[in-house]
Amino acid sequence: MSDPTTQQLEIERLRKLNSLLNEQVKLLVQTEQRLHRSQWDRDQEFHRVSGLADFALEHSSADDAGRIVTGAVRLLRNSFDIDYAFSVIGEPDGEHCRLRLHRADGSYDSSIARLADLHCGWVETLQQATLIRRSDHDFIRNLLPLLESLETLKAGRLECAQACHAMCMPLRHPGGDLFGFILVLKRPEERVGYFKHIIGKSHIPFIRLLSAHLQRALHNALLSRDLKERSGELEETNKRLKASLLNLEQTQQQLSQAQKMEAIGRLAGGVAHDFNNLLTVIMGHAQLIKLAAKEMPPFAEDVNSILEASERAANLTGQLLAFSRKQPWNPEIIDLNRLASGLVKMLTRLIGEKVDLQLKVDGDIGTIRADRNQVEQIIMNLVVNARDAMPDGGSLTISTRRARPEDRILVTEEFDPAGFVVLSVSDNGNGMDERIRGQIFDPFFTTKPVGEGTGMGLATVYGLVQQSGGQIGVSSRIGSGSIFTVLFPEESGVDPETEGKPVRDAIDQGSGTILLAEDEEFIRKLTSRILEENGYKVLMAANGIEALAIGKRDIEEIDLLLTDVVMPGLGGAELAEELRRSSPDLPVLYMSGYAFEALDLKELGDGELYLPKPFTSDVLLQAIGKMLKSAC
Amino acid sequence: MGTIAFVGKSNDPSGFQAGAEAAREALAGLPGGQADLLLVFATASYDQDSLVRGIRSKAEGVPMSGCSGEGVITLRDSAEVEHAVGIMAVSSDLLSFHTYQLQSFAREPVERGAELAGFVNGIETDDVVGILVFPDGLGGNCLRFLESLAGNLNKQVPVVGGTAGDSFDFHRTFQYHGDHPISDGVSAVVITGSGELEIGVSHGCKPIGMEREITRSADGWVYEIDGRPAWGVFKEYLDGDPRDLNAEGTSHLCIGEPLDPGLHEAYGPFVIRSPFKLDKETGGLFFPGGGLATGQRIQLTRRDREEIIAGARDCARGILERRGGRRPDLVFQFDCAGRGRVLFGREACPAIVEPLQEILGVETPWLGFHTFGEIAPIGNRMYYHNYSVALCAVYDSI
Repeated sequence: MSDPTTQQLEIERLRKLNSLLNEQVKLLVQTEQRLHRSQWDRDQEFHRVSGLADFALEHSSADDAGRIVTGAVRLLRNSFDIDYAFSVIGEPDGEHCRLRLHRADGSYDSSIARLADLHCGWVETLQQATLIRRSDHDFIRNLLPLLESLETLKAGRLECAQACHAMCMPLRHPGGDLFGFILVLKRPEERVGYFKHIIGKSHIPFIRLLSAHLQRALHNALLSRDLKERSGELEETNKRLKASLLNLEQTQQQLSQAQKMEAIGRLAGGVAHDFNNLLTVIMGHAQLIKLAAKEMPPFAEDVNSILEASERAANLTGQLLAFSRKQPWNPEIIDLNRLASGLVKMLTRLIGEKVDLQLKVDGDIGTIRADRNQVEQIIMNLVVNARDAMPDGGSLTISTRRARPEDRILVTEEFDPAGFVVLSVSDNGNGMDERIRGQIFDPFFTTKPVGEGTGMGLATVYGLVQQSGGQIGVSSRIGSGSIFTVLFPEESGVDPETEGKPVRDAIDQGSGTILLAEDEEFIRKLTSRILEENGYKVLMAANGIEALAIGKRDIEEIDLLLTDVVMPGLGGAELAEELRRSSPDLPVLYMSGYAFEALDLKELGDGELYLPKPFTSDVLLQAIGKMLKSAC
Repeated sequence: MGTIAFVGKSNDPSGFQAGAEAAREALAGLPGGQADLLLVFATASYDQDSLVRGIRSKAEGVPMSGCSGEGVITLRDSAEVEHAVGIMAVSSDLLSFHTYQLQSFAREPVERGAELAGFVNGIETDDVVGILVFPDGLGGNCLRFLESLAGNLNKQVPVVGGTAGDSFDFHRTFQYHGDHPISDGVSAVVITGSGELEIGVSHGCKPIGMEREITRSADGWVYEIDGRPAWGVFKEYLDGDPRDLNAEGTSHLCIGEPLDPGLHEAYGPFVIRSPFKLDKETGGLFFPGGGLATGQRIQLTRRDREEIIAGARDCARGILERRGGRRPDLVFQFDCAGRGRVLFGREACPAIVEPLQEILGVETPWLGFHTFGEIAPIGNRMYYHNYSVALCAVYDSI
């Protein structure tokens, strides 16, 4: 048995041992804690780097700057204890910026701010992400003005100027130019989260790595935005170019068509002129023979046949002239609605019972200035064409209205239909394909069997419309019918017929002295004979110069000048002008196979009339009688 | 039909979107999308009103309970992140769920316990299967609440749950019940009908040093240990001479409160208690569960990773063995916030969640949260635990 002293010593030894053990345990526990902390720090670092890798993967090729910045801020919020997060990205104009306040739930409040209102001069001096504490000199001098400006821009709802920690991440292009920055702030608080730390110096490498990725991603996104804008502009320019090319193509086609029509017109006009002169002789002599053969029926019948054939030939040459726009043009103010209404009865008889004719006029359209006869001819020819497109019957509509912007497609894209009046003739007949539509206005083009049409109806319409300063277009589909649309330029005035005045006065016969200038011998002799047999004295001249000499000599005796338009040396217009120096009121009756190509006149003046060849003796005598009566 | 449950979850940072998404996913698995109960656990970072509005946008009027936590546990996932919500939608023709909420928990824990007992006693049934409770984890004497509850119930009923938490801010937690979340409250679910709860609890801490004595304490505050300021005693075992108590310290060092020897075999020699607050002036440490009276013998303890993992697995295996190998209809896991990412980092789920799910069934509907305290019985007595896992497996009698 041990003595008390030994026991005491033993107890003391055990106490010391226990104390040593306790200290060892404390050290072990502390070491374990350090080890765990080290593992924890590594785990946190892994967590941050993993987040950075995800960010880089997700945003390296993104083109939405807002999403990229939001992703970076979210990574910062997930890794660190942050109360406020701002991002500022410059706008292309260099004077404004996109300012975002990023919230904890991932959303943000975005606005455009003037860079001048944002005191961010200090940020310009930063080359890399920088930490700053309230105790730092820079905080008060440089950061505080920026924070106060942010509070002002965000309507003072924040208290970010109370922040105690800040991290500013400048964003620069590869060339070094600053294009934005991210600013995160931490308020002073007693509570410290476990998983998130306040950004400290040990986190700078991570922050700068994030900064590098962010700058690259944003730089690419901004480049991509610029590229898209340029591409958009290029695409727009390309579209406009394509449209211009298409328009050019269409214009070229129309020009080509117009040139073709012009060439055909000149040919047709030339042929018609020559034919008219010949027909004048044929018809004139035929009439004389008719008068002489009144009592000899077989001869009278033969002569009638000659006259009928001549009139049909004259009709045909008339259409050729119409197509070549060489018809005489006596324009006047016309109320299209009244004119069309006046033709309904005649047209109804013309189209027959199987076709239902409807007239739809717009009472709000203005008047036009055109040759009344020509407009009637236009309507008649279009109606006949529509009738022929409905061999089994159908519906035909004549309508008038104001031109609409979409009417431009009937002509060209550049055609401005404003100030035009529309006359349209539509049917629900066979319709036309594109090939036929392209040829319908060509002279002598017809889809009818040989002998059933001259193919001049629509060519005539074309020429008359052009002569009236208008445009014509057609839309059609096989089996759905066609619509012919004629656009006349509007001109204000009063239609003489609305005032009840007759357009044509009655023609009386008279006597007097007529100076006849005609270089075609047969026509000259025939004309002279007709006049003399009807009581006129005729002074004949074989050309303009001869007529001028006769006229100057006998001007006081001459009551009327009857002259061909085109003559060698001195034309009919110049002859008239010369003679009117001495006799200003001298009536002038022009005659021609053409109408105006030598006169260079747009319209006839007072005391002037035009007589197209071929003409019958009655027509000649009526015209002369009317003029002499008017001159009295 | 029996009992059907589906779990939905979301990490959307928007509270409304997250609540709606998780609720939609949970309800989608139920016949006709009709639930008898929604159990909701979510992180405290959310705008809680928006979160609940989002849930209600998909499940208006459905009985709801739950609370906020440091993280959310679901199948093969332990989401200890800023934004996470998990919702279990349950439908059963064998079990009924009665939800209730108490307020002013911190000021009147005893009264709240009696109030809850009154609610339970008032349910017209003899078949009370168990009670899930989710008190505010930052205040309120949980021990007195549980004692009052036990003392006022007219029958013995297993009580299990966890105290609400946040992201280690120790700032504010939330309890869910109706259309508006509250704080300083208790949310509860009383389960009745044909079924049973199997509960397991373990901690995984090991004692360090000699036994000590609490020489001064009051109302949850332990001011002195062995005649010295409590914080001074704690600090000796913490690295770096810390000036404040933080989550790292809280989870690294705990107090073991000795249990009755009769419970040692079933559970162990002590139940774990963790301090949440420090009074720097007095050096006192606050233990939210209450208890720890003057004169109480205690043991300082440290967490042991292997013990934690093994203890959790033993919980799960014990449940399975007691039920003869039958997998449960659904499982709740209430695991201390200090045992997840704080201890295991990225490996939290593989360490303390997946192994339990492999034991009790990888397809078993599973929902839990990382708590600030755990509530589970030891023997027939209700206990408040820290740094522990409480597993609750629900079996209906089909």
